[in-house]
Amino acid sequence: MPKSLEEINERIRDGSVYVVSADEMTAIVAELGSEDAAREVDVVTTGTFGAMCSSGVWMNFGHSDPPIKMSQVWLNDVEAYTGVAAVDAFIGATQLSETRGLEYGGAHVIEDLVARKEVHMKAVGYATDCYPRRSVEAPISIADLNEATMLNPRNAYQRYNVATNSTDRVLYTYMGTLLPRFGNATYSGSGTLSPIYNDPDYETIGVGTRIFLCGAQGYVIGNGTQHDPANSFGTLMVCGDLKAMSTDYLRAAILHKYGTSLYVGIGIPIPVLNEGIARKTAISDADIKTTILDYGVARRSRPELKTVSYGELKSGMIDLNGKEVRTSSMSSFFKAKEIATELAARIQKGAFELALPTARLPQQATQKPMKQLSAVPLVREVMLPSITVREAISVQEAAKIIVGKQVNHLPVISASNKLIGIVTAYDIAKAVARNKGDSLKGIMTRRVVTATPDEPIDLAARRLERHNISALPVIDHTNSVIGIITSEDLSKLLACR
Amino acid sequence: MKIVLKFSQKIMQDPLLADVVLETGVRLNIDRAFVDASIGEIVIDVPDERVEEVAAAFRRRGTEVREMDTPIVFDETECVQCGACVSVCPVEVFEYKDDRTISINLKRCVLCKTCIAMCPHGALKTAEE
Repeated sequence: MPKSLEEINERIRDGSVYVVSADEMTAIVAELGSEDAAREVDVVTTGTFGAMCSSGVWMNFGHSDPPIKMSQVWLNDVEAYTGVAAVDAFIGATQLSETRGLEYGGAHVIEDLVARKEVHMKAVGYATDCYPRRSVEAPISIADLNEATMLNPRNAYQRYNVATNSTDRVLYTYMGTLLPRFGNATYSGSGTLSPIYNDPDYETIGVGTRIFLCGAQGYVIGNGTQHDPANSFGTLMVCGDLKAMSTDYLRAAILHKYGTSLYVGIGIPIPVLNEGIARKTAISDADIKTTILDYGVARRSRPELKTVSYGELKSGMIDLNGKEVRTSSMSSFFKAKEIATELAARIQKGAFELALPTARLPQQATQKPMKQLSAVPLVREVMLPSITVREAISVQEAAKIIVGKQVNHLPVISASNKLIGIVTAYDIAKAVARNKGDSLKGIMTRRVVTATPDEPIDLAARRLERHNISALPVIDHTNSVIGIITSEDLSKLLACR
Repeated sequence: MKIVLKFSQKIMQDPLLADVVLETGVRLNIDRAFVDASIGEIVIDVPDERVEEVAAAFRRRGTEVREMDTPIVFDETECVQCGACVSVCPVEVFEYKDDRTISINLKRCVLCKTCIAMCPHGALKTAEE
């Protein structure tokens, strides 16, 4: 027996509406069946609270006297985009402070505004006949802004990948610290409370759906960027009035050695219009599957290691190739539940009515990769032949080769042609200064940082930078040296890109 | 109980830990060790009832000894209960409770500070900070 949205809103007004959160609905449908559940339950509330980098705020500062057309504007030294009308600007969550770097960003400015703190506004402009002023500076608070409208291009990911790390070093990523050799795994998303997973066919979530956005009433205004419903990676574009938001549901975050982000709290009410919707909102953590990816491979397509459910992830431990790996959530399920509960309470007391979409979101779209005019060169395309030596040669012989061949690095190979070390011109100079002349054995570096022929040169460049070294022997899968790539050659190449 | 030993370059060459174990017979556990050119710092775990005896043995050998009482300070108002800290802690200080809030057992902390960097919300700090 289908219900209309108007009937549900009528029940909200007269106080007879029955609202439950999405995790409770799982149990209700299991007990009553979807037909009876659809009759009993009017609204299912969902929630999510996690790092949503694709977030920001449109602001209007009002006009100064004499007026200025801002060409650049900063709030607490974080630049906002003002390539629109004179005193409009968009501040993005991940834009970093020009003075404090990774410690403070757009997300912090947004949180400070919501917390009713003053932020320092500074703007410059090129003078025109209508906007003669060249600069302006003032402490401002959220009350001083005409509008402060949160507008997030991509929020509320239906689900997200799990991150882990196969390499021998710690990785600092937007999924947090990933310990070496699969030392941990991190995930994100609210599973059973996921807004889109509770309406996977976008029957009630669409353009114009009224939502809970960081404590305020906001709206879905379209699909999010990279919307990929065909692969269960749907996203939403949302907006809402920042002035009505609360720091209970909006928090700036710092991801160590990565940058800033904004934790956004979103709750979406799903009207149970029919049995089909009731059945879909019964989805549980065990039903929602996601993929563990190896973030040790810094490519667009990271290796897929395994499929797991949110139920397994939330148990705190997953099995990966026979190893028990501890899991962390980067988003807060506790806050997601708090949001779903708060939204349910607002609906129950008549403070939040539901709206049906005025247009539906794409249900079959997929995202495509960036169009690149030229592929990033691979190491094999730019590496040079390498002069290799045996460890038994004397320091003087090595010095002769370095001078004669005009190189700075000599990979050292074993009798079976395997890489066993490297010496640099500096090692040779040092050995001469200390009179250690007999062989390379005692002076070579044995832990050699290397490159492989099929990796993009950007990865090799990052490795040189991280280890503060100037060359990488290129080795094949048998550990034989097939070339060398130096920072000198790389910087020439990168400079003319 | 965990105690922090600080020793200077002068005595770094001596097998201090071995000497103290042999003298006291206490099976102490090394939680964390840090040594550089000028100073060494070791965190050890000692059964509560033997702490005084072990501390005295180290002090006699010129080591600075202090109890590690509040290793990490937790700011509840910044925490959003995500649990990012849970998987990076080597000694399982943090755990998810049934309601998905985080329980914290600082007694186990060895002050590796990995959680401090991991926390997206700056809710964890060392006592000195």
